[in-house]
Amino acid sequence: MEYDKFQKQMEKEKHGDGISVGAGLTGELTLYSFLVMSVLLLSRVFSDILFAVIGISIIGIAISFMPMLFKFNRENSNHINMQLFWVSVFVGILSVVIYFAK
Amino acid sequence: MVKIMNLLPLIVVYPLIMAIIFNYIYKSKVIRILALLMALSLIILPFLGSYGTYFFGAHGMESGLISGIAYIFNPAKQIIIFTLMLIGSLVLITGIGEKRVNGLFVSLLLMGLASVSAVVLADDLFNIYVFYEIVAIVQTGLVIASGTEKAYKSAFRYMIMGNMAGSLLLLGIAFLLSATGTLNISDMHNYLANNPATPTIYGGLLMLIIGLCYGSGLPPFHTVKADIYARAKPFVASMLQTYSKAILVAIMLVILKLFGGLSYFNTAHGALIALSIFGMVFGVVMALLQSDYKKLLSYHAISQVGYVAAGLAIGTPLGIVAGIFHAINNFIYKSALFLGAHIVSQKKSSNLAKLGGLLPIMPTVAFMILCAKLAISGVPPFNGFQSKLLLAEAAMNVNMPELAIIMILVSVGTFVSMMKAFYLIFLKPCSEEQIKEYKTTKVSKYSIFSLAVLTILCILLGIYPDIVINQITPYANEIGRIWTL
Repeated sequence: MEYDKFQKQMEKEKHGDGISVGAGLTGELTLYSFLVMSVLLLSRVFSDILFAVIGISIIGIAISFMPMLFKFNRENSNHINMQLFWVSVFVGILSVVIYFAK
Repeated sequence: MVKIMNLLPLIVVYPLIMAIIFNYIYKSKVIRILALLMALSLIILPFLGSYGTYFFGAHGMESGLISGIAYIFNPAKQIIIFTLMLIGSLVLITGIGEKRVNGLFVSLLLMGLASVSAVVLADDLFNIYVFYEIVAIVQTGLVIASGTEKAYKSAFRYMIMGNMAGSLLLLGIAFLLSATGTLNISDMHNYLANNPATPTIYGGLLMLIIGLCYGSGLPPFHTVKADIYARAKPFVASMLQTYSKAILVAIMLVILKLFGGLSYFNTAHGALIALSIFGMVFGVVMALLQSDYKKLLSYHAISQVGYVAAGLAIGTPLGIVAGIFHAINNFIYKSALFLGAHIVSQKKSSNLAKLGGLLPIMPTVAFMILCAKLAISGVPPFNGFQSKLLLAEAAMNVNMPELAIIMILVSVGTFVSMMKAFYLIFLKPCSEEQIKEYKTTKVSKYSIFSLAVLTILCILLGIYPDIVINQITPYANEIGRIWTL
C-alpha cells in the first residue's frame, strides 16, 4: 500500500486533508491488526496447525488487498439491501456456531 | 410494627403516567416548568425501592415456581437506573432550552426511561420483550421528532430491521417457554441447569442473541443504529445511546443468568466475544472515516458498545464488573460528547469541514469537551481509564491477551479520531467573518450546565471508581463464573 495512492483515494472520498488521511491510515492499521489478533486468538482456541496455516494465508492475502478501508466502508453503507444481506450472513453464521455445540 | 411500603414499581409507573400526561400538554411555558420538575423528581426514583424481589399482585411463589411478574432490585441495578435517570434529567434540562420544546418529546423521553428501567428490573422474559419493543418505538419517535427527511428515512430503516429482530426475539422467547414451561428467568435457569438441551433451547438462545444485537447496536445492526444516532438531534442522541447500552447490559445479564456455566453455552459464549470485538473494531474504523461530527460520535457509540459487551461476554465476576462500570462511564462521557456536539452545531454546523477556531469563543466548553474526549480514549485520571483498565485486566485473567491488545488498539483509534475532531472544531484557523458569525450565535445555558455536570462526573468517577465498583461487585460475583482459556 502506497501512501500517495491512499491519499488520492481519501481525496476522492472527500477526506483529503492531512489529519483525515492520518485518521484513515489509523483505521487501516486497526483493521489489519484486528485481523492478525483474531487469527492468533482463533489458532490458540482451536489448537490446530492447519487452522494457523490458513490464518497466516488470510493475513498474506489481506496485505495484498490493502487498503481494505474503502471496501470496508462500502460494505458498511446504510443501504437497506446491504444491511439485510449482512444481517442474513451474521444470523447464518451465528446459527451454525450455536448449533455446532450439539 | 409499621411495614414500609416498597415503592419499586414507581420507577416504571411514574414516568409512564407522566408520559401520558405530557402527551396532552401543548403550551411550551407549562411544559418547561413541568419538565424541570420532572427532571428533578426522576433522580429520586431509584432510591424509593427496597432491595430484593418484588412480586406484582403479591403472587409470590406457587408450587415452587414464581407466579406472575417479578422485579429484582439490587445495588448494581440501582446505580444503573440512577445513571440512566440522571442522563434523562440532564437531557430534559437541555431540552428546556430548545426553542420548539413540545410535550411529545418529553413524553417519548419519559416512556423510554420507564421502559429501559423495566428491562433492567424485570425477571420475566416476556415483560422484557414488551418494554424492549417500546424502547425501539421510542427511539424511532425521537429520531422522527428531529423533523428532517433523512431522519424519517433513517427511522423507517430502523423500524424495518426492528420488525425482523423483534419478531425473532419473540420467537426465541416462545421457544424457551415451550422448552421450559416458564417465562420467569430464575425458574427458567433452574430448568435449564437440570435438564438436557434441545434444539428448541438452541434456537431460543440464538434469537435472544439477535435481539441483543439489535437492541444494543452490535454488528450486524451497527450501521442502522449509528444512522439513527447521527440523524437525531445531538442532545437526543445522548439519550438514545444511553437506552441502547442499558438494554445491552440488561439482556446480556439475562443471557448469562440463563445459560452461564452450561456446557452448550461455550460456543455461544465465543460468538458473543466475537460480536463484541466486531463492534469495537467496526465502530472505531468507521468513526475514523467520518467528516461529520455527529456521525463520528455515533460510530464511537457503537465501538463503546463493543467494549461493554466484551466485558460482560467474558462472564467472569471481574469482566461483569468492568462491563457494567464501563457502561455507566459510557452513559456519562458519551452523553457529554453528544451534548458538546449539540453546542457546536448550535454555533454553526456538525460538518467538520465547516468548523474551526472555536477555542477562543468558548474555552470552557472546549475544556469540558476535551475532558470527555480524554475519558472516552481511556486517558487517566478520567472514568474511561478506570473501566478500560479493568476490561483489559479481565481479558488477561481469562488468558486472552489478544482481546486486551485489540481493546488497546481500538483505544488508540478512538484517541486519534477524537483529537482529529478536536483540532478541526476548536484549533483549526478560521476567517474573521466566521469568528464574527460565531459571536452572534448564542448557545443555550442549559446545555452548558448539563455538560458541566457530566464532566464533573467523568473526573469524580476517574478518581473514586470504588463509588460504583463496590455497588456492582456483589451482583457480579453472583452471576459471574471463573474460567480460563
